[in-house]
Amino acid sequence: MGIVGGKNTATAQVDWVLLLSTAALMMFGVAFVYSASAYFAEVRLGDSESLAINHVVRVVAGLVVVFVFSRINYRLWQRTSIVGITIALCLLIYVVINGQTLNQATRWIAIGPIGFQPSEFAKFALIAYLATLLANRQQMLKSFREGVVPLLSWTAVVCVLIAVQPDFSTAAVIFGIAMMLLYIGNVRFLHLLAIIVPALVMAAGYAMSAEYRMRRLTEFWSAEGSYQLKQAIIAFGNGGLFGVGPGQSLQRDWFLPESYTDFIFSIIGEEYGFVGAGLILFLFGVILWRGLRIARNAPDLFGRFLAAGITIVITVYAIVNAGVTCGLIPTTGLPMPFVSYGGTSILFTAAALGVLLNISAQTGLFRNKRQQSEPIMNVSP
Amino acid sequence: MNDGLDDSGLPNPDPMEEMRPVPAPVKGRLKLRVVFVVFSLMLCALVYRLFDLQILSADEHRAAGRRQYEQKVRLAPDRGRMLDRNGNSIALTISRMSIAVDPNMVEYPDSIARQLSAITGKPDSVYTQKIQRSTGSFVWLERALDEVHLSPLADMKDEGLIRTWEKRRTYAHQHRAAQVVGFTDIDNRGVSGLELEADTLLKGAPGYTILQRDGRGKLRPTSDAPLIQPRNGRDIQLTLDMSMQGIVESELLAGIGASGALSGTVVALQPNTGEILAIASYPGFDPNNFTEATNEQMRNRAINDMYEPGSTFKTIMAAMLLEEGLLTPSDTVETYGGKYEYGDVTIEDDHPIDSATFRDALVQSSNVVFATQSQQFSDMKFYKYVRDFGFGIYSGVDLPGEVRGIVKKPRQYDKTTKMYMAHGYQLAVTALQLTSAYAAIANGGLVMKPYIIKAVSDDGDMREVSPQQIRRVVSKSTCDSVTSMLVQVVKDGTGTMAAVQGMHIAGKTGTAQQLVDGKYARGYYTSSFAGFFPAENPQIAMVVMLDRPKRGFYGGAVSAPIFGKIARRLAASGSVTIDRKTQREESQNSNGDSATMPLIIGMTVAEARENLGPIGLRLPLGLPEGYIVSQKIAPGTRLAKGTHVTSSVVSLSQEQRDSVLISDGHTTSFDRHPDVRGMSSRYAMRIVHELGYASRVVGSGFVRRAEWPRGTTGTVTLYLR
Repeated sequence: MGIVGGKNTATAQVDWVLLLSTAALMMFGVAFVYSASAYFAEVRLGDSESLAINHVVRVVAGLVVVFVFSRINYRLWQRTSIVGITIALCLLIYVVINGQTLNQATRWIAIGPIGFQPSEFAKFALIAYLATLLANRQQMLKSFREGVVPLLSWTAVVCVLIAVQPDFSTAAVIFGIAMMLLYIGNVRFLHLLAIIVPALVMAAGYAMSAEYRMRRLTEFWSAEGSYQLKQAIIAFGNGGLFGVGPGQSLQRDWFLPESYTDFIFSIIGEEYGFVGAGLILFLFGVILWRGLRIARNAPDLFGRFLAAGITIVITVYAIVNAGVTCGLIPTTGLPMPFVSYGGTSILFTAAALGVLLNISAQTGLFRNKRQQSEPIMNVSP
Repeated sequence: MNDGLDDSGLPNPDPMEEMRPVPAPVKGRLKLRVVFVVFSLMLCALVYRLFDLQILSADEHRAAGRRQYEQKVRLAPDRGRMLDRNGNSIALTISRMSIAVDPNMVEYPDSIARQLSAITGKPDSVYTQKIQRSTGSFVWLERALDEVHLSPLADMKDEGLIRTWEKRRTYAHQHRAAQVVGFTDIDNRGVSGLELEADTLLKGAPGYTILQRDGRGKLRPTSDAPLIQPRNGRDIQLTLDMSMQGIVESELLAGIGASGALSGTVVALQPNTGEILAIASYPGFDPNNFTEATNEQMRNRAINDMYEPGSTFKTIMAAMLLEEGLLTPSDTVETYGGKYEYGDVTIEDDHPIDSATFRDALVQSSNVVFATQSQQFSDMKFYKYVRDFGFGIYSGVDLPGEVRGIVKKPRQYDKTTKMYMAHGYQLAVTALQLTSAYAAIANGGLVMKPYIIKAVSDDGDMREVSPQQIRRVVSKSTCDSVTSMLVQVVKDGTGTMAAVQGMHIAGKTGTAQQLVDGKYARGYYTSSFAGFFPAENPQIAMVVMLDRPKRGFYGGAVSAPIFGKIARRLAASGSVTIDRKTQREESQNSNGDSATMPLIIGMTVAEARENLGPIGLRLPLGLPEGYIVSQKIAPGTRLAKGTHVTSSVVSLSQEQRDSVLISDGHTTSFDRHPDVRGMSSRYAMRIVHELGYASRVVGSGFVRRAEWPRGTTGTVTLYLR
């Protein structure tokens, strides 16, 4: 698939390293999901391949989405991010109200046959909007009230709406990503501290307000660990250096039910060993490297912030997911990007990747342009 | 990051112009680098964590995994068998099939229900409903079925039919010797009786193997799994003779039914070894069905209960007096006219005798003579003899829960203690102790330790347990004298109802008033008969003890006939060998013109004629074949010889007879109305008609309740169900 950058240029190329790394992750993902879901699918759905086929369909759709979004000039998102965040807020509010009337935790919206989690969309909408604000208001960031408060308000509204679904861990992760984006976006360190410290206090209070959240935390800190974690660690142990081989997992079907979603990393570790799991982490490392390189070389501040935000989302999700399965982070329900069997999450992540690729394709364009134009003055803070 | 471009700055000073691209400044790259470094460190931490989990500490986690994949499966040993002295199985372990279904998978529920119903006799609907109502994926239908191997179920093909084999303890003789044999719990552990006492011998040692659980939770054997074979339990052979036990129990049952006693026990020992040949205790239970048994039924009354023995103890006294040379059988003894006053204590005889020899005193069971003669002993000597006969100490029998009885120590004696003990009061003994003491006399004065485990298997061989001598308590000549006196007791004393034609029986009756609320009460008796036979060559020492008989209370009237019948049946079955000479001796000893009416309820007509003939009484002619269920003349009544004794006879099988006599035998007054509850209407009506009543039947099936008219005629209403 040859993806060519923005229509402004015929020479600029997308970041092939990034594209191939993610494509590799998606391909591995298909194999992992098949192996992890076969038994479950056979027992529950009567067809061992049904879940894997679903996943293949989504991966193919994801690749199409990558292609499409890489063809759209990312500056479009700067203009439309206000619309995106508005839609995201509406969806989140709808989910909260709907959830309350049903009197149960609801994180999903169904549009026809497709169900998706608004938080999947909201996190990218928030990043795009924060990137817009940061890029447009660099001068105002010195003032906490005028510069930081609007950024903080949007972030807070999105996170609170997600937290009350209730999906506390996603809210916390998105909040953390937003904070990193603000840091990259030149918000003063002192201001960030002034946000993060009270947020941590509130988060602690919130965590203690619901029993299941507390239980997860205490389970994590206790020597025993949760049942799933224990089983995941056994899976890693079984895997050893080279793994027990594709499809040979002892843990997946009986001891780690539905491992093809959030605990897929442990099955990778079991079937493909330290080598396989390490390769996955390496690929995410490549994504991190290439993504931040794109951010650094982005033609403008919006591109930089957006590229950094997208890279951070993907990397943080991967680190949190792997950290949970390894027992380094308390149990949260975050999927591993590109790999987990995760419904629509893969499509949103693919779209973000497409955007990232589009930014990368414009790097060269900007460089060429800049070389032709007059020097740009440096700004000291 | 690789070297970049030294470009950028902040190109657009106007933040309001949002649509114009803002070139990225150089400043801020450091922050990207910080983010890169932080996330890279996190990824490195994850890699290290993986390295730790998968390489460094992998073995530990793998072991945890193995623990959950592997399951140690216990291989149950076969519990040892229990055999009787002739090698017949008493308790054995049988694999039985249990049937369960997975209601989601089952294909032919109706057919399964029909087959089960054919085995158990329960209606089909019981099983179909169990299947329908179950919400899970497993439901037991029947456990430990007996004859399932004969049923189509054994090889029926149905995905949802689950068959498992379970090892279950089975008791071949059901009720017989149930309290001795005991039973095991669902896990085949001994709970009572010999199953408990000999558990360590019987249980063996379990083996094990390791099964691997695959990813789907199914257990399967692995090729390299360790396999430790179970060591089966040892077989034990008992001293019991189950056919003798059967005779003993059936006669005890009949005797209890006839007398209306609350409970009863019989112990039979082999005098020269101490082997327990039979030990019966009523009420009993079926160990195959132990969950329905009550504590009353599970008590082995021969060793768990103690009684004041009453006059049977006089035999021991007689042996002591003779051994010490204080009296000879022919010495004349003072009878005090049947009433002896000592301080404020009065000892009386039921049937006063005038002048008498010591032999007569025993034959007529004189309380006064034994009470006064006992004063010749010092307290210590008296006590020592009683102890040496085995009273007040554990016999050491290999059965659980033996009590040792109560024998006062000399320092606890007052002036009358010996006088009371001499005729069997102020001490408590078990039936086994009493039997053992009589066995000692039968054995020429040697006390043997009673035991019930005769042999234990050891790698296929049976290792015999040797009999154990405890002590010599009296001399052989003393025993011979006592035996001849006891023979006379049966010949023409209080024990005539124990007599058996053609065999000399040595025995003594006992009738002890029971302490009720601290007072000796009229109407509550322990009636016993103790003895051995054949007197010339004792092969069996036996005690029959009945608690609170209601119809006739003298040991001679209610217990002696049981003793006699058992002795007769044992002689007839060849279990006892009889000297030909004695057999020929005709001992017709009913003197004078009168005879004492015996208890004939429970006998067959032929048996009754055989019993009545020698004492000069007659049954009317023309009685049907069957068992006597009622007698118009109470046992113990003096009758003129030649009297025709009217009785009602009903044809029943022996089992039915037992159920008529026993079912609730201690609450109905059987001499008026037999208990027909639980019988089929046909048998109940036959009994009712034989007794001279008309009958009316309500409902169908088995008798639930019977309403009897007030008089001796009228209509009996039988309510059926």
